[in-house]
Amino acid sequence: MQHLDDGLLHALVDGEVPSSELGPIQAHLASCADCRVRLDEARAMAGESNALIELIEVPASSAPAPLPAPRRRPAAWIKPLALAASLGLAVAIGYAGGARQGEVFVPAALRVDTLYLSEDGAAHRQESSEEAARPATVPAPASAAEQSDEQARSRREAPREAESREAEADQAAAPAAPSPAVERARSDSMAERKQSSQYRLDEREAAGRVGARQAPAPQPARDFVGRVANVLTDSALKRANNEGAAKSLAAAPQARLEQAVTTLAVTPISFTEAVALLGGQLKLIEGMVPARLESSGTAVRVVYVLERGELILQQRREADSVSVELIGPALSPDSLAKLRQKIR
Amino acid sequence: MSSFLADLFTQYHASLVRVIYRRTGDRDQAEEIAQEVFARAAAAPPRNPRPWLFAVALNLIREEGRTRSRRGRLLQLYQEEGPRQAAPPDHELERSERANMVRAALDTLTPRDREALLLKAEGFNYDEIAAALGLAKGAIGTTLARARRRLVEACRAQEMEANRNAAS
Repeated sequence: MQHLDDGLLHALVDGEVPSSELGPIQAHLASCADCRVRLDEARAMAGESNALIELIEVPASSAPAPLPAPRRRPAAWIKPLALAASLGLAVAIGYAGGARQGEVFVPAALRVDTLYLSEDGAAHRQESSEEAARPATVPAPASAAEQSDEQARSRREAPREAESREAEADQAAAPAAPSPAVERARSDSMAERKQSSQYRLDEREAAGRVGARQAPAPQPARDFVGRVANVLTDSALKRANNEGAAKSLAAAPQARLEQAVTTLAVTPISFTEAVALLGGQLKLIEGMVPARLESSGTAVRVVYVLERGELILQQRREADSVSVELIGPALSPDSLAKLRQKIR
Repeated sequence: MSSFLADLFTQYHASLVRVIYRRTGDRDQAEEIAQEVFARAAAAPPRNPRPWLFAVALNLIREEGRTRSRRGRLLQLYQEEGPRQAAPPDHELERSERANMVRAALDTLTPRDREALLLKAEGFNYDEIAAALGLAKGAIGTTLARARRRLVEACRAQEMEANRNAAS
């Protein structure tokens, strides 16, 4: 047999030669000292080149590139105005109906189921309240928390939102200063969130979770926001006590339960950040392609575009699980059930 | 499809960024290219993802023509940070110097040889390297043999030059 060429020697070093071909090669090596020396050199060279390449370490990320800026949507001023009007009316009805001070009527038609996914992947559905609408008691108003960027944004928006918006206390990621494009996208996103924010109120009431710190809302709506926030807090506490509720609620510290739902801060994020925020457990809807990823404090929002609007798979890392909420346009029970099954 | 993409991301993102970074020397650019690769995977899920992801990444690099050397960049960054930050320990400087040396040595290789070496360093087998680079499997051993020899020789030459300069 002729001497072994360099390619074969390196293939031997890398374990790439099929065992069926090793016989003649081993026989040659046994009888050829030169090839044995060259094999040793190949082995040393392979090791040295690997060691050299491993010296090149990826430095810490400065600012990971986010996903492309979300598509701009026309500001739907009319929808939030209509919703604000309806909520205002609902509050008025609640008060006029002789409810105790601070009770708020929450329409049932806007409820959306909330799902909690535990570590084993089992989906635990947290049903909305059985009652079509029930008043909730209101303790003392919660204190406002500081969130200057949300305050500035809410002031920029012309229609005063009557409903609550979320604000997260913690920023797990540290996004770069928002560019104009991000700000525009954020304000557009705010308009859309008004449509779904009412769903979120009901979700949190049903699920007994309140996740966000109260942020300063526009002055005219602040009192209402505070009252709604406390409604959710109180109902969350009651549900925890009475029903031995979902472990995400049971595990939530009191401080977190007392956070009010007011302003939602949304920032476009990358896959990297999303996975990092959720501890490597990013949930997606199988068969659908996300339009974008966003963060809201520690929550990750996977946004899908449907014909009727945006469907948001909002998820947050809990103690030992990932809580998942579906936020979006009203869907039939069948559609909702199908979506739930596809969450992976 | 989405869960497939999430699994793909979890499995390969760090490795992809590392290969791209070692190829280009630009951390942020590596992240951007990796993002683009996964976006393309989302649009058209590959059947054999590992070599596909890296093949797309390497093609993107070639398209952007990023072959500039980063020699001395880390040292320059340390200098620009100035009095606000303490000087890095000697061993870190030495390591970064050596990394720059390796990058410069890699730049002396042909693109194919360099890419084969980087993929092998990520644990690719010959089938995967062949698929990623569009080469015959039988050519990978020879490609790696040549690439390894040139890298080691280039690094040794730089070390000798550095020692000569230090001695003079």
